[in-house]
Order: sequence, then C-alpha cells, then structure tokens
Amino acid sequence: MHLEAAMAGEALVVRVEEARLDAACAIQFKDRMREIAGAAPPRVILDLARVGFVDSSGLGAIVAVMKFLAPARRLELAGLTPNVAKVFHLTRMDTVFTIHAALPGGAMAHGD
Amino acid sequence: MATDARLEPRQRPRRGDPVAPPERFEARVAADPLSVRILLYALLNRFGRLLGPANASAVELVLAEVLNNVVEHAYGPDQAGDIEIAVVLHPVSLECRIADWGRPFPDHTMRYRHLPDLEVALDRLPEGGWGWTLIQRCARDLVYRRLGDRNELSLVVPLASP
Repeated sequence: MHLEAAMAGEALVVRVEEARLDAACAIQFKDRMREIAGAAPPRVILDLARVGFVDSSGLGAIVAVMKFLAPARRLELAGLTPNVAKVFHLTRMDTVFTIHAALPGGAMAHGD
Repeated sequence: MATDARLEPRQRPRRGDPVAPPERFEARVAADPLSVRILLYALLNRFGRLLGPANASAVELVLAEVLNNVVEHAYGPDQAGDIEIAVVLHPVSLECRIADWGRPFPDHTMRYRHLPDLEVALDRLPEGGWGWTLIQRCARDLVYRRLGDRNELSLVVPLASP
C-alpha cells in the first residue's frame, strides 16, 4: 500500500498511490493511515485522484480512517475519479464526507 | 485495458451485431481477495473495450461486490474454496453466473437490503453493508439458488450504449 503524505498549508494531504482501494488492500490502507495519522494536524485530506476503483471494503476502510482520526482530526476527500464518485453517490456516503473536486486552494503538496 | 495491444489485431466484434456469436468469459479461481482482483482484471481486459468505460465500471463494481461476498461470507476466514464465474456479453446486457461451494445464504434466501442508516453519530457510522445495495443498483434479475453443496447467483448488468 503506497501512500504519500505531505503538508499543504495547515493540512496534511495523503495521496493514495494505488489504482484500487478494494478488499485486497483495505486492511493495509487502514494500518498505513494509522501510522501516518499519529502525527497529523487537525485537517487531513485524502487525495484519491490516482484511485480508479473503490469497492464497499475500500469505502468501509475510508470510513474507519475518518472515525479513528476523530474527534481531534477531520478527514476530507479530494480528487474523486468518476467511478469512485459513483460509489460514494450510490451509497450516499457523499453526504457524510466533505469532498473537494481538487485539492483545496490549488494545493500542490506533491512535486508533480 | 482498452489499449491492450493483444486485442488489436482481432476482427473487432461489435456489440449489437446480430450475427456475431455472444462473447463469453469463464474462469475458476481461489476465493481470496487477490484472486478476485486478478479475475476482474482478466474480465475487463477481455470485455472493457466492448463495454466502454461507464459499463465496465458498473460490471466491475457488481462483480467485485458479489465475489467479495463469496470470499467473506460463503467461505469466510475458516474455509478455502473456489469461485466459478461464467459471463456472456449480449448486445444490451451482460449475463453473469457466479458459483461457489461455501455456506448457503441464511435460510437459502437472498433478501433485498437497504442502505445502512447514515443519520448517526460519526463514531457509529457503518464500515460496510453497502455491497448488496451496490449490486441491486447496478444489476437486475438477481436469482440465488442452492444446488446441493453449491451456491449459484445469476444476475444481469444492463448496458448503456458505450
């Protein structure tokens, strides 16, 4: 599970460098996020721009991360690809998360 | 997947061509998450170009949820086994049959599920329970049968014009 974390202003941006967030990697994702979150500021943005597929296990893992970050830290999402946005819409989880079309404020936390 | 060079030289079958025989895909894999991933990759490698991106994403989602359910519930952590899948691509639909040799559905019945309640405190939010909702939203004609020691689920994913 490859995640890239970098500060963008006051927020920690974590970019998921995987094509899929599915049942095969949901547990690794949660474990890696726990490691990263230990020293995270109050605002954490999960950048999903590289992720083309999320299933219900991947969605559950994102919810789990939001829950263990709370209450001290808030998880927001950015860069949902069309297939991923569809899963959030069909499950109505788009009403639970703050979802940014792109990284807020044009933040370019990663040098590409 | 649509750019897979191995698909290039073949005479390109068109969906909706009444004389072309239906395209089929069959596979049998171990019931574990990585094998499911590889199976989906192989299926989309085969059909992705014919389906177009929107249909391919619906097919991938439905089958991922069905196959994950087999891995997690029919077999579970204490039992190993296989999943068999047979897919037929018709002009306006994809017909799928998924079989396993794990535990049957409770009461041998597939029940329609509703979305988990989201009007709850953050620490009570569900971390699952969306699988059947996603399947029901993207597929139709869901039929479950218990045949001896075998579970068989059939379903149809309607296809939009690519």
